[in-house]
Amino acid sequence: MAVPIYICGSGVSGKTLLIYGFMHVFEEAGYKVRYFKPVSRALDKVGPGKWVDDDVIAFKELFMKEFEYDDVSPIVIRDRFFEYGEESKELHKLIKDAYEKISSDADIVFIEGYASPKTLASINLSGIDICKLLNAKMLFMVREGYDKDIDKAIIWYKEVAESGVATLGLIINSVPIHLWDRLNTFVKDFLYSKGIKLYGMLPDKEEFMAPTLLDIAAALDAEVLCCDDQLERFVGDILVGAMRPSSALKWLRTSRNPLVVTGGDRTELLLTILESGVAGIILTGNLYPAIKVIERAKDKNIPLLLVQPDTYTTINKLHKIHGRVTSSSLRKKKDMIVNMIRENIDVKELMQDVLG
Amino acid sequence: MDLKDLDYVFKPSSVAIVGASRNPEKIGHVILKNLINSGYGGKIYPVNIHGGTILGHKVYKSISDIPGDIDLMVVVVPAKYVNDVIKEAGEKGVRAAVVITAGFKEIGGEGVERERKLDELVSKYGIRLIGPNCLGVIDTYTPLNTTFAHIMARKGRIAFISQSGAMCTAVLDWAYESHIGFSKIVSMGNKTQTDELQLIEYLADDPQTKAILLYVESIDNGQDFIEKAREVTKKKPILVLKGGITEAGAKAAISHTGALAGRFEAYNAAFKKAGVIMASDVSELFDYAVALSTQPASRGEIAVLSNAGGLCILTADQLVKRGLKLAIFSDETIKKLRKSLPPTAAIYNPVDIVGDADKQRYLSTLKILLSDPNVSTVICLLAPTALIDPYELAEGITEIKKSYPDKAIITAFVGGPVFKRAREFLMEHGIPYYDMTIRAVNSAYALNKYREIKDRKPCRYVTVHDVDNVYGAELIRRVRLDGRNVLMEHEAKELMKAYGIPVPKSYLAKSPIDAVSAAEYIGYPVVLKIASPDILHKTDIGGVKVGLRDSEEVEDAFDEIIMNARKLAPKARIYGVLVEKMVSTGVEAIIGVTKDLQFGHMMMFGMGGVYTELFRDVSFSILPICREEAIEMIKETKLYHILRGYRGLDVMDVEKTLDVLLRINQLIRDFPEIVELDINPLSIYKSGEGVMALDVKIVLSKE
Repeated sequence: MAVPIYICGSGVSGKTLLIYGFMHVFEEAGYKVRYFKPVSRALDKVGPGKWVDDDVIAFKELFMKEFEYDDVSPIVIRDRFFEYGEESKELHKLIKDAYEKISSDADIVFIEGYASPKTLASINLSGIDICKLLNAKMLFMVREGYDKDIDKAIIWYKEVAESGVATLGLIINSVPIHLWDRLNTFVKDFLYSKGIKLYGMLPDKEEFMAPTLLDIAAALDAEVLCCDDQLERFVGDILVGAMRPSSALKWLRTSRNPLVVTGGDRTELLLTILESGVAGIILTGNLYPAIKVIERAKDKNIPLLLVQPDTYTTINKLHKIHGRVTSSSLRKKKDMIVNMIRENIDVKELMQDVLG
Repeated sequence: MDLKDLDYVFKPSSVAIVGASRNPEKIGHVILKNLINSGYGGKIYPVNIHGGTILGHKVYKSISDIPGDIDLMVVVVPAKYVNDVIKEAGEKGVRAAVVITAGFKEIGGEGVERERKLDELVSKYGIRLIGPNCLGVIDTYTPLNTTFAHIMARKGRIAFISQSGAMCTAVLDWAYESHIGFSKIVSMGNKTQTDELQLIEYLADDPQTKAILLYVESIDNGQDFIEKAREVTKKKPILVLKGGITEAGAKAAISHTGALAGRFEAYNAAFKKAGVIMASDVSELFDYAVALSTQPASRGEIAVLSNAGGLCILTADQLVKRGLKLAIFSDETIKKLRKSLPPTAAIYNPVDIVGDADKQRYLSTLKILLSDPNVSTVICLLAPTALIDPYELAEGITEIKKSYPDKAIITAFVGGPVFKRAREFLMEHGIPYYDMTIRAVNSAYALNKYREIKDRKPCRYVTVHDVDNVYGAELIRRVRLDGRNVLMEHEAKELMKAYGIPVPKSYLAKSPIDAVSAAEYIGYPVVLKIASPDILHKTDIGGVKVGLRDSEEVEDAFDEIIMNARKLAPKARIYGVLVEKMVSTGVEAIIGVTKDLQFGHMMMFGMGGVYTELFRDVSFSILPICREEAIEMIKETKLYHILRGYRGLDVMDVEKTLDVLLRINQLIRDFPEIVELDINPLSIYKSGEGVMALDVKIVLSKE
């Protein structure tokens, strides 16, 4: 029988990526692993009229091709969800059936949680409800590790323990450099005194949440004018090309893997940008660039993406893409996340606690 | 390629025109006609697949059919046939080709590939190539005209090289009307093989060329250009009109150097170093060129001679505005002028011989002025009167000039048709003629400028030895290893220290307790600054706290700085807080370096601190710099006067400031991967008390 682990963490805490990394680590250790997201929230439709969460699309493609979306995530909610409250029994049965289907031949199932342990308690679909239903242990995850974040983790832990659900320890993600030492010493002991085990911390790494150009091109419905073999690159900073070329140069030099958003008619600026090694360039307002810009981009292997909306709208769209998961970005991040887990998390200890 | 083979372009003994046409509206016809009409004395071979005769010349069906050797081939066939023609020409042994045809790199796609192939073919066969996508070439001494321009240039001493073909025709027409002549005109087109660098080098030794004019939109090898032009300008002047040196768009720079060092400053600094004189438009370019191609480069001791008081005053104003000086006459000159001129005349410079002057009075005064050892240039102004025949005056001036070969004469006859004949005469006899005083002043400026360039002291580049470049390399390696290209302040300061530039004592603290022990070790008062490679404007986000006097203040400041950074720069990587000794400030200077895409590293020096961008009192130089250039950089600023002890202020340590410039120069030589550097402020203390770099930013290139 498969062992379920429920991962609880709020918002964009990097749960998905961490699960993806753990699945590889456990798989390499010889376990058959599965992904399960009992309740998901969808932003996009797949096929005619079917709403599916990005994470679910990605994991189905990467690990669970043989299953249906409904098996991987039986309940999909959107902005309205109180109506579900009246049919808890049916929903619990749906979850249970789907879980049984995907876990039948698995050793470990990673269950991706929905925000905090008590979120969705109003409709009996909270993390605590699910853990009780599937007899899962709960693993906690928070970002950064300032005292307020640790405080939140301690409160969660207490709530879950009091509810009778079995608890695992804590993982802190995106830890800023200057907090590392304090967390690793003073805070670790503090957590221990509260009965919480710290399995490890992952350093703040920009690429962790960064989308690839491919994700961006897809999300913006961009026409790729050059270098479509270079779209797997990560995008770091987003720069708006509104300054004069020599000023732009200074920003380009100090930014990390920048994606520059500017109009295709700014030839001199574009030529400067191409000289300074950027991840890619988005040309807004459907302004086709000068021929010499395209030729230079080809020389430098820098993708040019042409989009219809103006710069402001494009920037807004880009901010929404940040933190979203696709199978291509997960695949690209595999080595990075697996290595980070191996280097920073006590996997042996975690395995022991999970498998008993 | 050997530059000698450019002789085949300018002085060929035979020319084939491939794509010659019978149709008078076709370029292939116009070029053949222009070549014949230019009076070219060598063999002419029109080539066209249909054969026959055009304009009385036998037409050959292909290049291989031509019986004799071919020095130059002009190609006007459609783009898709050009490479086949070049190949055939290569087999035949043609020496040079001017490819007029467009449809190469400039159209992208297949054109790029076509140009690459063209480049490959001319290298393989050793053919000297001009173009493609150009207007052609003119040499007035050969004579030869392979362009499709509507007129031939007048003979003269100016060589004009242009990246734009249209600029060539515009200039040709305008110059013809203005009686300006050329030695050579070259339209470079796409510069596939021959660029401005090779052309100026070739023209440096061309006896018919006295001044080289350049119209360029891009300079591809900036550093090479500086080096080559620096050599050539010792022999003859280079004048440049550069398109696209100003920048559109709002200012948003990361460093002070960035805010002040734009395209214009880079070109200015590069041209200064190269000894190239920059003009702001076509008429200024030719004002300069006409003077420099006919007159000796004279020092700025200028005498102004006129029959009209108004013109005198205008000219004097304009001279001063351009930074030129009016000559102070010798006593003997004053004596002679007083004796020969009526009492109403103004005998001190400018000299107004008044409205009733005749030719005789004008010419005898001119002689007196030219004989004065304090005068090197005379600007001869004339307003039309019934008493002077301008043509006869022009003859007289030309005659007098012969006796004063080392002095410059510039004329500005302000009027219209009345001066037509005088103008033609003067221009044909090598005396610059202008219709406006400002243009005469421009040309005097050019003569003076070129004299300064010729008189420049040779630069001796010295190596600063007492620097720790091994430690520097290790430090940069560590930053790279951390996946960064921006140095944090404490790292940048360590690099300064390794290069012998004083910095305040500092320590990177990771916690409030850490910060307090650092402060106690360093000694109060201290400054705390956020340490993050992503926050370059620390003050803007509340990342700096100054004047902290005890442990409580330090602890408090630490928390506040971290909180501010998280709030206002949420994505920034925070490494901790830098604790630094609070030091007194002297006179604040800025030293910056930025790597320009065309010309490489450029250094800036000037007034520092918070007013840097307000006063813009800065000077620039392309690196490397020698001691003399560093001194000049300091002297160019107003700050220098403050450092020298302006109006009773203390004299500051200029010597140590100079030392920092040379040490930074050395740092950039050792680590050219530094693309941005800003020391602001560099605190300069009283003479003998040294300097200190209070804030330093360094950015490396992305690997």
